[in-house]
Formats: sequence, structure tokens, C-alpha cells
Amino acid sequence: MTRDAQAALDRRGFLNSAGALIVGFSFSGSEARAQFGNSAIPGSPPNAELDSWIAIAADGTITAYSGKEELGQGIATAQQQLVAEELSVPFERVKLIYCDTAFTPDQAYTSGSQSHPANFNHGNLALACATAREALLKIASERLAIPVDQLTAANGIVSARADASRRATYAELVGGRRFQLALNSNAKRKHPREWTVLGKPVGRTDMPAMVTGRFEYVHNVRLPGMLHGCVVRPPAVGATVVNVDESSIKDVAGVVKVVVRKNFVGVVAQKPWQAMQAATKLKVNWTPGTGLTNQSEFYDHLRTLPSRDALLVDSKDTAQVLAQATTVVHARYDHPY
Amino acid sequence: MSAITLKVNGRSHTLDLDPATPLLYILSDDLELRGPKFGCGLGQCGACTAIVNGAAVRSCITPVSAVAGKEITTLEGLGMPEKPHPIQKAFIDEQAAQCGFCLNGVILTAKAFLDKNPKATEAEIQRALSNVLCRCFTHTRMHAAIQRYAREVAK
Repeated sequence: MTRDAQAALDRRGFLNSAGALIVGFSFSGSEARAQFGNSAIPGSPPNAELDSWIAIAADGTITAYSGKEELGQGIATAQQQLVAEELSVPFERVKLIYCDTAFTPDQAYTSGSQSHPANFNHGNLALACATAREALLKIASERLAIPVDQLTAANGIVSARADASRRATYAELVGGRRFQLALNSNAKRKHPREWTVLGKPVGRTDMPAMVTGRFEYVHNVRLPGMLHGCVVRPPAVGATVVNVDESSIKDVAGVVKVVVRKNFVGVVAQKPWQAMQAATKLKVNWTPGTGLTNQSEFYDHLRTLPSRDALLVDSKDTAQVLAQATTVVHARYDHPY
Repeated sequence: MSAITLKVNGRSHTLDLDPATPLLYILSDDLELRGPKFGCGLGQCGACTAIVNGAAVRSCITPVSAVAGKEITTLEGLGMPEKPHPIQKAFIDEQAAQCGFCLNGVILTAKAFLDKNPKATEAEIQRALSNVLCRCFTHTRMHAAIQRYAREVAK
């Protein structure tokens, strides 16, 4: 789905009217993080709770929430298939909302081909689906007074294997209410032999909007009162600002502000083209700068720059192991930046 | 600033504009169209393409004053998600996109070329598309989609 302002309003309207309560989560940031592990966005729904991932509305529509972004790799469509499969509902009955910090779990970056491992390999979204399916079967078992192992789920309906007339729809079981369950790491996924949606070709859901010029890319996002900025770059490495002549762009339409912060210079305007024009025309006096380092000294120069060490693995016994080694090899590896 | 009338996707718009502004920014920011896209800003990649009086032009380097009163068509002007133009449907049928950012230039360039050359050969179509860039490398599927549409046109 596109994520413009109208869609956001539609979503809120949908969530309110359907009663699927996704707002009001606690501000806990201590949940297990996705593979890159920086701190979670404050206020994002907790990753360990089922209601952060799956909501079943009063009309039986399934809304799934994912923190993995569609970048043309098809992950939005694939996740919609995953949810439809694991919850035994038709593909079209699943709505997927992704990477909306107000609504979706914070799953860190979308990169390195890690979206499928994160959300399909019995973690995160897949685990949420499995947890939800088991919960639906359990609730149906109590409602219908039939043991779980004698129930089956298909097309958004739980029914008795022996008597399909004894049944309850997902909407009847939890529609419009929260599950209030933690993700269950023991919840069972469907065996691939049972798959009817996953593994079958399906058209990308974003394709019709893309080919007709309706898809909202980042540069299409417009918010009320939004302005556009453009950076004025120095002509050389290490050049610093001597002075900025704001009067040089007094004739450029739409300029709102010239921003100078130490050696950062930028302009803000009503529209993107105005900002670009102003950035090009703004007269800034820069010092000549330091120039580039000789290539032969490049790596030594890099080592003198401010840096931050990142320890990826700490076995805590390196000193001990090295002390016992027969031979210790010292080496330095330079990698292009 | 001066008043300029633009005919975009069959509708007339009279706007008070700096006549030197490239068409792309008028389409994107004043008319809020999402089809034409900023790619390189130098007329080299094709993402900003619009059809003007039947010809594919690079809107990022075309001053808006040069297209006043002419028939301008953007990707939105061909069809809608519910009712795509046959060339757009061919792209859906072939699933011919990854990120889709270049689709505007690819589809409009192919459409303008085939409108004028309905019996074009595969090699001619490839040559016509050779300066529209796709960074995802979806060329094979996009050519399949264009061929699919070209076969319909040739019928």
C-alpha cells in the first residue's frame, strides 16, 4: 500500500472503526533487536508481543505490521503471502503496513538480504502468525467445546474436522479485540507440504500503482507546511566559511532561510527547484581548504581521523590463547573506505 | 514570473511561473504528479520523461516556457491502477519492475516510439530504449513487456 497522508488517515479510520487497538503500547525498548541491534525507536510496538504484528478486525480483515521495507525486492508481497499462509486466509484479506514508526515494530535496517531471514525463519512476523493461529484454535476449542487436534482452520474459519457446520470465523473469535499474548517460540509453523499461498507465484501488490505513476516514492512525500532544503557544498576538502552573502539570493523566489552553522551552509525554500536555485546562486567565501592527502599516505591519513571502534565478537580469551600459541602472526589489513 | 498555460493529461492549468523552471518541477511540485521523477537532473537517465506533442522529452532540462500550450502526457495520463493502459498492463503481466523508479521513462519512451513506429523490430525498440537507465537491471523483463505491447499494437 502507498503510505501517503491520505492512507495514514484511512488507516487510523480503519483501526478505530474496526476496533483493532494498535495505539497505546508501552514505551519499552528492551525487546530483542533485529540483526543489526541499535536501540529501538521509542514508542514503537514491542517486538515480543503478538498485537504488535497481527490485528484481526471486526470484519475479519487481517492487518499485519512489519518493520521491513519494500525496496523493489518484493518483500511486501512476500510478507502478505506469509501472513495469508500461516493464518489460513485468502491473500486478498491481508493488509500489510510496513515501516510506519507509529504502527510497526522496529526491525532496524532493511539491508543485506536479511528481511526473509528475519521474518520468515520462525522469527518475528512468521512467529507472530504461528502464535496467532494457535491462539485462534485455542479460543475456538473453548468456544466450540472441541479439542484443538480435532479442529482445522481454512479461509478465516475454524471448524471441526468431523463436522464443518460446527465452526467459528476469526472475526467471531477475536475480531476487533487484542490477543494480549507474547510471541510463543514453540508455536508451530505450517509444514511446506500444506502450503497453498507461499511458493505460488503472485503479482507484486505495488506494481499497478508503480506502472501508472501513483506509487508514492520518498521524494513524493508532502506534509502540511513542508519546506525544502539544499546543502551548499564547499569547493574543496577542509574549506571553511569566511562569509555568506545572503543578499546574493534576494531575487530568488521562495527562499525562506539561509542556514549557517559553523562550516555548514544550506538554504531552505518553499519548493525544491527554488532551493536548488538558491544553493547554486548563494555567494559563499570559503578558505582554500587543505586539499586531498597523497594517495601513498592515504591509509596512514585515515588512521589519524576520528574513529569509533566496533567490537563484533569478543571471546574474552584472546590474551590467554595468544600467550599459548606456538606462532603469533601480526598483520595489518587496509580496506578501501 | 509570468502566467503560463499547460495542458497536462487533457487538463489545462494556468500557473504563475518563472518561465525558466524545468518542466519536471512544475509537474512534480505544482501539479503534484508522481509519474515524472528526478533521477540525474541532467537529461541523461530518462526518469523525468514526459510526452510532449507525441515526443518523449526529458522534463528536467526542458524549460516550462518551451512546452506552453502543448499536449503534455505523464505516466498518470495513460491509465489508472484499476484500468491501466495496454502498455502499463503489459508491464504488470510481465512483472517488469523492481524498484520501479525508471518505469516512467521506460514506458513513456517506448509508448512514444511505438506510436510513431508501430511496426518497429525488436532491435529498433532496444535502440530506442538504449538511453533510458534502469539501475535494478530489469531490462529483460521490461523488454518482454514492451514486446508484448508492440505485438498488440502491430495487430
